Amino acid sequence: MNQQTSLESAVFSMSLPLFMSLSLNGLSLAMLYFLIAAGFSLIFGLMSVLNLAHASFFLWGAYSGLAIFTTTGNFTLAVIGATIVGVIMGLLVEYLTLRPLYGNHLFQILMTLGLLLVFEELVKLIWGTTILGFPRPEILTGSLVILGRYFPVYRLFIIIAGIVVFIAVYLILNRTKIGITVRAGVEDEGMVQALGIDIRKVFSGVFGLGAGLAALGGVIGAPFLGVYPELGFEMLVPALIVVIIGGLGSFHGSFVGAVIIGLSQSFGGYFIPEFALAINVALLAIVLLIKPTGLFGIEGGH
Amino acid sequence: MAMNQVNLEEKMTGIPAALWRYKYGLILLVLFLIYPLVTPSIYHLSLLIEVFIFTVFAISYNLMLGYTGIISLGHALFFGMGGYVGGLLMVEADYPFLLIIPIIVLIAIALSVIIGFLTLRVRAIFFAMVTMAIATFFWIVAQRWTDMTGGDDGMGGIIPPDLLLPRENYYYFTLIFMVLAYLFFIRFVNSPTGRILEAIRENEERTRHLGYNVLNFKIIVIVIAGIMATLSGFFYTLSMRFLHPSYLDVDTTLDALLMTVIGGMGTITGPFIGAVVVKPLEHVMSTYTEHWLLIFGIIYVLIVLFLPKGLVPSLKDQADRLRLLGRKLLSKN
Amino acid sequence: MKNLLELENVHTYIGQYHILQGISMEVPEGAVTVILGRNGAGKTTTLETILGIKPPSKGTVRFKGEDIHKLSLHNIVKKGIGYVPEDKRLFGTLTVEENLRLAERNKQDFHRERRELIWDLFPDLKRAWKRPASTLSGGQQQMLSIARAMINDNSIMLIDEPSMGLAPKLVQEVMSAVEQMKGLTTVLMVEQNLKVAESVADRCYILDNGMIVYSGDIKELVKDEELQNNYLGVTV
Repeated sequence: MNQQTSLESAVFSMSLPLFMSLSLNGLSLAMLYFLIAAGFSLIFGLMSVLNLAHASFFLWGAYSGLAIFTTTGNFTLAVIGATIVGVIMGLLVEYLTLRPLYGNHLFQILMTLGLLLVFEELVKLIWGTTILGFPRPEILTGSLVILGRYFPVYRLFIIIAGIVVFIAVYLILNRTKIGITVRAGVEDEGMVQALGIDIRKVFSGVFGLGAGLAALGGVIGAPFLGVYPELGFEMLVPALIVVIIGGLGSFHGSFVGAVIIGLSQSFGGYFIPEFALAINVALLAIVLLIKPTGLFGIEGGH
Repeated sequence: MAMNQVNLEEKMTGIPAALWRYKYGLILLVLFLIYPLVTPSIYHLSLLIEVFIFTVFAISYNLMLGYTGIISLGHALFFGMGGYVGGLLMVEADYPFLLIIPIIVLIAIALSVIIGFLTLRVRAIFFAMVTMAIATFFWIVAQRWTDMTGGDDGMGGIIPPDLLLPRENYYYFTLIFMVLAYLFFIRFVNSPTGRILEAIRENEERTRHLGYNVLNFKIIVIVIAGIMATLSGFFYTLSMRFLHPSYLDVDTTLDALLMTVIGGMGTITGPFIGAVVVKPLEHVMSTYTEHWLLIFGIIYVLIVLFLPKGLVPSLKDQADRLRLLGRKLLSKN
Repeated sequence: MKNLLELENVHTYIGQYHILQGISMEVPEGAVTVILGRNGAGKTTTLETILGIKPPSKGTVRFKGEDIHKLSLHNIVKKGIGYVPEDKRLFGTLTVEENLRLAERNKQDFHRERRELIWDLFPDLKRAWKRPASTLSGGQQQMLSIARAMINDNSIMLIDEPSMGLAPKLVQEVMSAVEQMKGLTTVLMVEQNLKVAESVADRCYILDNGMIVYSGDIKELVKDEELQNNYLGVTV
């Protein structure tokens, strides 16, 4: 009772600067969720694979980025290198472990769950289990003063990077032939093939791109989240919630879903820290109850 | 042909056909019954208790995955819920053992129905995703709510009722638990409902067109699986006399999955074989290397990729093939 | 006349069902060939077998003299086959333009020409150019589905029951489009409605229970009422 009133007064007395600060925090988290959820959602939409190992690409993006950064000291190189590592991992996972199982959704899920475990254990084998710090690059340290509150430059960087990626992928999906092919494939992959297009190549491409985005999220999120073996799994669960809320297979759905979950995490975490995740689970239940296909989901489906 | 053979055996041995069918199971049961009289090693008894409990946990998973084609990625949710709710009621509220059981069963039913209704009416895949999200949610709660759960340090002092306090008694208790679960399991999958479940696994669309309410049948299965997993979790907690958030984490779900996949999905013997292979192996391997989970993961991935019928059924196939080959060679000579 | 497409003793199974039971068929170049038959006779499966969607378990499919039955769907299509499936299978979230663009295979100049031809044939599509395909009417969707197969310089068009579910006036419009194609390409069309088939076809085959029971000139069939009663059921 007492806690309730204090919570209410806290919400109503929230100052504009605090509101801004929490919003920006939430958005920076949202961009990381978006980077992991986008590929996850597209891969499911296109090939009906619930790729739980997608979180491993995020994890490996963080670790390989850290490895490159500590050897070269060059953050740009770390970002590019980690993304490439993600793309290569994605292509290998698709080619070696999922391609033999196309048409068998059950075994694909079983496979990706196993891969999630293997990649996490590999990280423990190579880098150990302690939390590693990822120093922020020089240019991105420091804070900006926004409405009288300090706001770390690095988080702004994450927000901008996320928005840039969103716009870039959005343009690819809507303006290029490849993008049209992917969107068509989400609807009816068989008909895409009947137009003379090799859908397997499209699968591989989307898998590689999606994995690259997740790895990019991992490397730019690392200085903010820290680097530890459970990082992938911890990102997987919000990503699952994001894609269900946004609609499985929908790219902009994953962006909107990520913003919702990021903000609820940030605000919820500030006012009722114990139940930040509970809010997300509640949001998930509400969406499943009211609009089960998600905000931007296509009706029907698999 | 098979029928005749059974009848023939019945005549020759004087043992009813129904019992003869499960002869290996019965022999095993007798061995388990006399085992504590032979070696009173507490370590071995505890290991077997764990095998019995995880067999039931694996049966519950097999009912969903192997018999109905429902995949849960958060089955640990029920295992951990049984452990935490049961354990906390026992320690904090002093509830008697016999009252706790109906309470956690009711919670399991409510939880399964809610999750099942929210997800399965939309898309089967949502059940997998949402179970994982909710299991993780409880896992995090168990870690963070340290006042109540002790967080990552876990919580001890969960003592079984006096009757079950001696190790041998707890051993027999869990053995009976497993046998009852197995009797139910065999009857259930051979019942008309069990056949409808297999029809759903084989072709959901067709089963729906035949006029069956697929959603209801699926919810029945996840409710049963939820109850079994919840009881397993509670009895496991009592056996360990300890609670830990790891009961709720994804590795526990993977345990059930691994047992089902190794023992053979959708087979009667699968859960027991899976548990009897996996649990002792985990104990042995974890004494040799801290990276045993990696080895397990790789074995699991290879089985899914190359032996989709399960490790044991595939080995049996190979053995049958060799036997056939041998017979051919012999008849040629 | 040279045969563009030949099927020789083709057997196709779907699951355990033996759908096509030894079909042999010749599709002459430049003509419109129609496959008639009741529901479930195996008409759609014949087209799907040619395309490699349901590959034959026995027999050969020859296109321009080359065996194609072992190739995969997209490689078969690239040999120059346009496909208009039974249920249209447009991409509903894509615009009319995007649906056509997706179908285009390379040659840019050619496609500009073809787009103009399509605009002439189906002015409705030009008007709906930027609209998602899901917002089109049933008739417009059928036109788009045909246009999608026409956008390439295909040697043959496989058209599956274009008249299905359309009002008579629209059927006429669709058929005049097929008529137009005659000069450009070869057509193999599945149809249930004899009247519709008669208006465009040169040759025809009748399928019954996965076997060919009649082949020849469509004019002969129109005269032969007994044949119609036996294999086509009630005609319109």
